[in-house]
Amino acid sequence: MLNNKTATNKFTLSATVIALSIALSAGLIPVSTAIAAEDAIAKSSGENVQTNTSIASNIAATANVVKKIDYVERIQIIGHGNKLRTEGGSATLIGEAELEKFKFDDINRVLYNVPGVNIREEDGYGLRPNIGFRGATPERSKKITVMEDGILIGPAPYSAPAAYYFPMMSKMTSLEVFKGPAAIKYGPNTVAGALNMTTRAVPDAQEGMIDLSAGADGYTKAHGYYGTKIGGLGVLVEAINMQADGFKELDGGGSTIYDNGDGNTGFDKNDIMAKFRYDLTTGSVDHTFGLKVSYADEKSNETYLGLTDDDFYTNPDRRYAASELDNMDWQHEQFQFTHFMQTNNFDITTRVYRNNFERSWFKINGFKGGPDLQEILANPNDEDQDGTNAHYYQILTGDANSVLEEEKIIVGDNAREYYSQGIQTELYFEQQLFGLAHKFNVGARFHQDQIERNHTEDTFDMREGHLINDGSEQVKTTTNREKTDAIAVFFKDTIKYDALDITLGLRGEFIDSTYQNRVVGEEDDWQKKSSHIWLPSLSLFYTVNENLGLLFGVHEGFIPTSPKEGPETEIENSVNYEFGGRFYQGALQAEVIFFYNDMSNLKESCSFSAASSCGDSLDKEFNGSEVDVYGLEFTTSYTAKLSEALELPMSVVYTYSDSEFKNSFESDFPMWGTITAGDGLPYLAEHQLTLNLGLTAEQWDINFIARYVGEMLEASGEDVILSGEVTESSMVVDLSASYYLGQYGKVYLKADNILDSQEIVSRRPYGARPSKPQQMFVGYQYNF
Amino acid sequence: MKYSPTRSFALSINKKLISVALASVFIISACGEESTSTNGVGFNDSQDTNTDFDQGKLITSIVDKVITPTYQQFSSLASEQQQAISNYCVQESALALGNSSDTLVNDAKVLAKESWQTAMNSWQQAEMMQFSQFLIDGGLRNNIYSWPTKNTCGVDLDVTYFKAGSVNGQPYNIATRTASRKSMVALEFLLFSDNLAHTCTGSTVPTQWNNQTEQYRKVARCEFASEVAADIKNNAIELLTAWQGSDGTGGYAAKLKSAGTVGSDFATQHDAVNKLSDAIFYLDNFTKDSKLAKPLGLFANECGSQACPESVESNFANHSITNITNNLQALKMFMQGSLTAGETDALGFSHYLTDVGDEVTAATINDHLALAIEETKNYQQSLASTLANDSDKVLVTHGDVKNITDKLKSDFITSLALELPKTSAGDND
Repeated sequence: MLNNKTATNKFTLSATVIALSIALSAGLIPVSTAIAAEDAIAKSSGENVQTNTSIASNIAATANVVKKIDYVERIQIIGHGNKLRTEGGSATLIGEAELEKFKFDDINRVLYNVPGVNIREEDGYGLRPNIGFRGATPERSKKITVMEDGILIGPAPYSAPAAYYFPMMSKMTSLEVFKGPAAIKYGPNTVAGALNMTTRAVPDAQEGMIDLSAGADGYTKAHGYYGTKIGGLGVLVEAINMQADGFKELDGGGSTIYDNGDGNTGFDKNDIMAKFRYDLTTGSVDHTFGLKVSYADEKSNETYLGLTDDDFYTNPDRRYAASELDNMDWQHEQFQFTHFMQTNNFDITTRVYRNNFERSWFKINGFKGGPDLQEILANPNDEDQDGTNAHYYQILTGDANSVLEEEKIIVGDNAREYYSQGIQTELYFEQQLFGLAHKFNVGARFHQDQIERNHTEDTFDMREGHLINDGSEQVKTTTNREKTDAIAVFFKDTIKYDALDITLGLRGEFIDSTYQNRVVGEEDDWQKKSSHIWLPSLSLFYTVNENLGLLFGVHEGFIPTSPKEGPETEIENSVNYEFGGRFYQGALQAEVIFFYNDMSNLKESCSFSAASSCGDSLDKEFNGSEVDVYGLEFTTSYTAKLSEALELPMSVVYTYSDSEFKNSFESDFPMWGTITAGDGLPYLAEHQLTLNLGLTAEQWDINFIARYVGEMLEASGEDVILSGEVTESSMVVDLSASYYLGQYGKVYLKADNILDSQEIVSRRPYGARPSKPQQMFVGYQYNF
Repeated sequence: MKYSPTRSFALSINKKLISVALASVFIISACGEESTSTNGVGFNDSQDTNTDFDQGKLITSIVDKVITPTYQQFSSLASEQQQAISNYCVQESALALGNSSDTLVNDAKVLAKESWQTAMNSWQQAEMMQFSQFLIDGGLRNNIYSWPTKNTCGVDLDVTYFKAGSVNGQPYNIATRTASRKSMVALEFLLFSDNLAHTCTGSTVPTQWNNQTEQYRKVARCEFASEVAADIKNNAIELLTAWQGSDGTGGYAAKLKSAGTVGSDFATQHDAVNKLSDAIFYLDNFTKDSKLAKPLGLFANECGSQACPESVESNFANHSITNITNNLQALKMFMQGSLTAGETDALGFSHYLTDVGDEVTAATINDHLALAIEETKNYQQSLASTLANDSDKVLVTHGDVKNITDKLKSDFITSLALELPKTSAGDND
């Protein structure tokens, strides 16, 4: 990486670039028109095409059958077809029927059905998931590209990729995971892959649904939608309220002083979305205009504070008194306009989007002095400290009062405001070139995002089991802004060469970022960075026969550095390989993929969610040099037909993963420490297995899902608090059953974690945290 | 499959085109990354100073002329301490058998106490030379000196466990005992406390202890003190080995000195300089806050928020103010790059500050240091007594030390482009 320290105003990305993007979109129209015209010429010259020696006339006629698509297919990317999928690169689709089976509100539970996904669970409800693919650190899903309806949905995907906002899973109708070269189309993060969730499409005719359910721990969900078509205008309105009192039990019953405690450890979430679709045909050109607006909010009494191992084994659902004021409060607004246009020869989709996200995240950060929270909970009876940790532990639980200055509790509000906006366009067309069929897909995106941090800290005394403000003034801790303007372009060409599909891809990212300290008097603390990178990909799919295909892929992965990072922190860069095969024979399907990610520099950043010991390293990034991650992903599914009316669907998803650091080094990053070459990555289980088994009749169905996740390292190296600690392997079984009442809808029963097994899923941010205990739900759903 | 000549030609062109396309895609990527940046003058995240100052020489000077001699000195004093305490215990045991005299015992005890004081003087300088992953994380530092953790009841219990030769059914092994029951803190209690009754108030107490004869208890305490002193001696040797490496090259000292070279733990020499700088911030967190502000009542302490003699570092030997003098003395050594001023080839932080054009800060720190050292040497009474009788004097000392740490936290780190250690970032002032 170069650090020329030159003043860079190469990209004044503003109105000019928006204009450029629009021009690009518009500029493609004459190109396509020209293509269409050539088609017409080719058609008129009939069979003579093959005898013409000029290269230009080698453009063969496209198929006479005009196949048109719906623009929904440009939002949900993987096709549903009942045949062997021939796209290169690993891509997994979980469709509406699958999602309906278990009606999971927690994306983690859905993703256990996708191979190569590594997850660190945190709150049990999946409010703020930690998702990684193929060994990428799951921390706040910041290393994967997360999209909703094909649009980047993280609060500020370039400037601050940690996904503190995550869309509500319950409103999604499908979910797609792209790994390997399939991910090169979606950026900025390409080392691991992309996750795209699709919301409900505007229906063609009047339809609606009401879904009401209630369950343990005060859980209720009210979900409904109504859609209709008036003339050419389709309308959809969908709303969800979901709430729970929480399964955790707060010591002392919670605070009654500040309104946000009162013993409730649950959440209250709302999401309302309106969509409009208007179809218009002019001559041979179809247009579809789509508008989506949505609002979502969440108030949850969540915390980063966990338990000591001993307390966990006594009661995993306990929560210490020191967390009684912890509270997340956020609002999210979304606006998206889509224009889709297709002719017989090409289609083009253009989207304009804006997301606003604002949050207040008030949670215990630690003691004013004294040991780190993670240290106290890891060694509550540490003899070396001879009672020091034990004493601070008593304050956390409310059994002792804060007396000394260092025993006061710091509660920080990491208040942040984000926006993310942009325009993106992509073009699909198919063309015969030099006697071969090409499928082209090119696109460009101009994106801007920003995070403003307004972090503060307040000081509290623990008094008789409750937190009382000590009267001292609120302290401002971090007040800054990070902002990014980015242009991304991609090009994909799939060439059919006999039984071989060759897909060449290239992605370019041009990023301009600024960091500014917003503290008065610190105006000179700023940085501007410009960077660009080109990332190639190649994937091959060889169709052996109609049932079997082989695939190979290689692509370069990349994760940009944050605007605040100085030039000494390198980008994360990797070359990722995959090789495998797909099998399809009606009811039996299978896929096996071996992957190998060769990272030249693994990069991590410190956040409170990783460990309190980040201290003043908060949001600082660390270089981890070379790391190899490799493994095997296997999925198979089979549906046995027991009788005319009875089916037995089953599937197996297995992932083997291994990883190693290639160099020895010392790091202050709390998940690494002193690394010896050969150490593995944290939070990557060697074995993961998910089994699905169902029984489906005409009037009822019953489904089981069992997941096994092997133990995972809490830290890679030595000399950090969680060195040598592992999360326990766990086996969780969920059940769902539905009974259809004909025209009166259906009733359903769900049991999450029927074996009621709760293991330590992680000891971060501070202390041991449980998975969700057994929870039963009943519900009624009526569709019309 | 047979193709027409035209189609074959087209296919052969295609093969070439595909190869060309593949090659060009990868060639583009090979030269496909570039990044440039420009910063405000206030943006100094992990930056370096811009002069030709030889930071490697600074590291070598502080390592070889300050830290190594201090660790060596402590190791040798720990050995002498062990010998003196052992000699004292021989007299105490002989007296129990009627083979010695009170004078001989007292003389030997005075020598034992002096050996502790001399060793402590050296250790208080070494306190300013702690490096987290080397000295603190492995527990080595606490095994030598567990303060601020103290546990006299724990020591009383271990005196009886040692006497019995076993604890919890296992043979007694001092090496595995928790730090607060041994270390220089336990030795201070064993040598300087004249109260022979045990100090336990909780549920676990040495039940038979107070019924034993005075001489039995003296012998039991001195025997345990001898064992603790031997353990400190072993830990001092271990510290020196970890620092210098078993072959004199593989230790932490060598790691610091090789900073910035291929395979080193420190990416740059400046990172290693930052590590040295982190160590001297002991003066802020411990000397200023824990040893002065807390007993003064500026922070809450055992007495509430008032001057509290019980809250000082050294309750039994009344060594608190001398400890502070030695902490300051160590900073002086870091500033000058050697044990004594004016050594040839020595390079310390004063030289570095002068080189980057901030001789004002160097002079200010050195002046404040000289004043504070003089002030602390000037105490007529112990720190505890002064707190009780003339707490304003202690307040002045606190102010003297704060003058230094304020400079360290501001001009020192700014001029030398260093980062504050994490523990000093949330300012207690």
